[in-house]
Amino acid sequence: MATARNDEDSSITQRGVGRRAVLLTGAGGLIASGAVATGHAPATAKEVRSREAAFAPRPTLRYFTDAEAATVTAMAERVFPADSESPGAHDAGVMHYIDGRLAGGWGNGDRLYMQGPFEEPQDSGHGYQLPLSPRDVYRRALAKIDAHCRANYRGNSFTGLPLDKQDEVLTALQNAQVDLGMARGPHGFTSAAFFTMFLKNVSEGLFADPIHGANRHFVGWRWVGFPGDPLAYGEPYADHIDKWNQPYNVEPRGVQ
Amino acid sequence: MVLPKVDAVCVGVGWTGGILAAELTKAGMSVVGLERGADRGPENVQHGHDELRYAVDKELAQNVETETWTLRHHPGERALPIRRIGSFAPASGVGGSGVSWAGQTWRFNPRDFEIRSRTIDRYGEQVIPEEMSIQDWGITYDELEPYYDRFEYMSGIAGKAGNIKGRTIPGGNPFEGPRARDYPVPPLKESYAGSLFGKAATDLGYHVFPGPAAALSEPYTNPAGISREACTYCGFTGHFGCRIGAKADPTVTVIPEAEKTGRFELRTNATVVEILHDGKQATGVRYYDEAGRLQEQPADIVLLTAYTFNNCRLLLMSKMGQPYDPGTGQGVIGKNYCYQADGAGGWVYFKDKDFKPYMNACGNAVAFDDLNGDNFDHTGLGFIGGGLVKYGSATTLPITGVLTPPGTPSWGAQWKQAIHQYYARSLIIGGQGESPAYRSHFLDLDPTYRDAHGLPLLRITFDWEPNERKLVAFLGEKIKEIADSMHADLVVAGGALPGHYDTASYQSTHNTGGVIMGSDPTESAVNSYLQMWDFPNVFVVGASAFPQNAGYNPTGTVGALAYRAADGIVNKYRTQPGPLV
Repeated sequence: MATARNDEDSSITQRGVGRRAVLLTGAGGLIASGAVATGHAPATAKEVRSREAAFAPRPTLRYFTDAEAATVTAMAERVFPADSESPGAHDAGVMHYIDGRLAGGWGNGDRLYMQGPFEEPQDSGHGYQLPLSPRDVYRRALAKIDAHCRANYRGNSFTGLPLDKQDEVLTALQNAQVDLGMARGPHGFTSAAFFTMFLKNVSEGLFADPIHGANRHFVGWRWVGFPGDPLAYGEPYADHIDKWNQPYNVEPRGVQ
Repeated sequence: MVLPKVDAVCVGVGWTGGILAAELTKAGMSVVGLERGADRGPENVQHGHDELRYAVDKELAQNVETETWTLRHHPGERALPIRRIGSFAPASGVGGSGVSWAGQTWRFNPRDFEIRSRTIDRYGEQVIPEEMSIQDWGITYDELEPYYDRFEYMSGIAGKAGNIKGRTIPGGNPFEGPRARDYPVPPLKESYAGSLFGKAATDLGYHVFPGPAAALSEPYTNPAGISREACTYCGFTGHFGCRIGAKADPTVTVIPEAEKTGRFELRTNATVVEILHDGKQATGVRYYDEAGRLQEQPADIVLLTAYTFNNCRLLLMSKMGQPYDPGTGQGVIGKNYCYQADGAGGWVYFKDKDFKPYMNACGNAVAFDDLNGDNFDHTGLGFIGGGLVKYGSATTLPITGVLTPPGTPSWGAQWKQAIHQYYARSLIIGGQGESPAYRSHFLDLDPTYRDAHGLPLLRITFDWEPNERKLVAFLGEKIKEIADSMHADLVVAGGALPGHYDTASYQSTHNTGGVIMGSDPTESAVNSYLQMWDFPNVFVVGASAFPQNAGYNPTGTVGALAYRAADGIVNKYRTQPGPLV
């Protein structure tokens, strides 16, 4: 156990870099491995950038199954679709953001009061009342969505449907018409409640800071025109807030 | 373990605990502050421009995983726990909600303190619905004015006076009560959206002025000698902490002031679970320390300076004062829980503006008070009360702040196009309605749900009543008139409260009442110094003392009441312990 962990940790040491460098050199010759491996000569800017590229997180799945990931990717793309002019949810990495969100504390029910008894609300206004973590909610909901698609669309999964049928499924979800097995009455956790949760997660995936794995390439921030953290520009807003109706055009930058 | 006795112990170290600790220690008293959360200050939010972390996950707020509240809409129903922080977000940690507040720092109107008697004088008792239990505060605006002044000068509030000693000052709020002097710091810079709203409202005859704000418009040194920098308009306002201390917050003002005396001891991760007493006097408090040990802190004076809810909950758990009974109307602890009737807001969408909505300062608002309180004639309207109308308080960050016109689908290509079009070209005109008290709205201990220590959660019984629905509809119509005159692409009126009070969507952290002040011990729990009628060495300080909530943000009044309580303790109680009224 200890050995394995040490070995894993070594991926961020120079030895590890050397090992990766070999792999990457083989793949595309990206790393000037000599300087990195010896660690003596100061790295050039180009080398540093290359090293960072080697470490750039390549998204893999942390919670979703491949099938769930495909469904969520397709659902998110219908919420924020790419077109010929502009990128979509897939380009922004929304599915990977949600996957990470569910794998982490939020997905595990952090900051949720989870003591019983759990009762389904009898009137509106009580919010989330399930004895389930958001992670479990997604797993159950996605299985039911898959079953709904297969039952109603000739055995097809969500990803196998044409776009207009995908929209039909999302509309049914939004209208509380898909039984996700988590509500007994109208104030319970209906498919509409799940869809609201999903839309919130998609919005986070589009507009949260990239440090959370969201908003890749600042797709969301560029789309609405949000500059990110003003610290990146030396906190200049006091000089701009009273320049009325004049745009403030900068390349978005993440939290400093 | 019984610890050495001190002069006073504060339960909770936010604005009220910080103010009392500063004032008492400067007068030579020893004070221990027990804060259930962690120590924190600007160093904790240096990398804090992160909307997901603070505005969505609300890192600065109380973690409801270990302690939450239950809610039912009417007595007789089973309450359900608020499982995820939603409608309101009180903080935990040193500085309390004073770290994460949005910085709007209002004085209540003179009428608000005498709401019952002035309503009866002007309209007759029959206009007050039978179930409505509004009360006078037992203090007048004029009596509280010097303490408002102290809070504003300690904090460095940016604003423009409208009434100095009875003289109306152009450009300020003509409806405000007379103040001794102007704000300590000039108003913040006006945003483009604010200017458009201000012009439209002015053209309709409203008296527009810059909202008083806790973000400094210029560097400021307060009377205690504490200097702070000017705000940078970073746009990360409510739910965020200020990384440069430009927003007034207890950790950069009153807490350092207290610490400088050497007589203030701050203990963090210390959760008070009981006020110890002999039936006549409190003797101290019992708390879990950071290692989970039960400790006993004896004190001559116990200061309940937690948030509204825990002030009330600790009294109920400690069996102090008579619990309120909604059936008989007898008892006082838990009585008159109130909130804030938002929902009148209007949305305005333009084709061709650029509001740069991400540039924003805490509390920066353009407002008018013509429709607040009883500043307009209510004859024939069928409701009492009013609300502040303003631009500038809404969240303007993209996860929580993208606006799409109703009718736009909430997803898909049309939604995508709408957020592209409108994020920087839309604004919300807010209407913040007052929340009167009712016999059936109250706080008590939940019979079922418990916190992580096994202690009962506080149960809230609250819903919207016809008076507020009419008030919000009225404000919504007036706001729509303003919006319609702004030559916008599209205007959408607000004006409706939901079918039931909704605990899930954020509205405001303006929870009030439960330990209310007044002049009659049978109708109130504390006197005008926030001293308990039943326990003269216990002061319960906070918005818990509001007999009902006005159409303003509460913090200015909370701060003023804290300075008043401190004055009573330092200048009266200390030499002659006993009832101050």
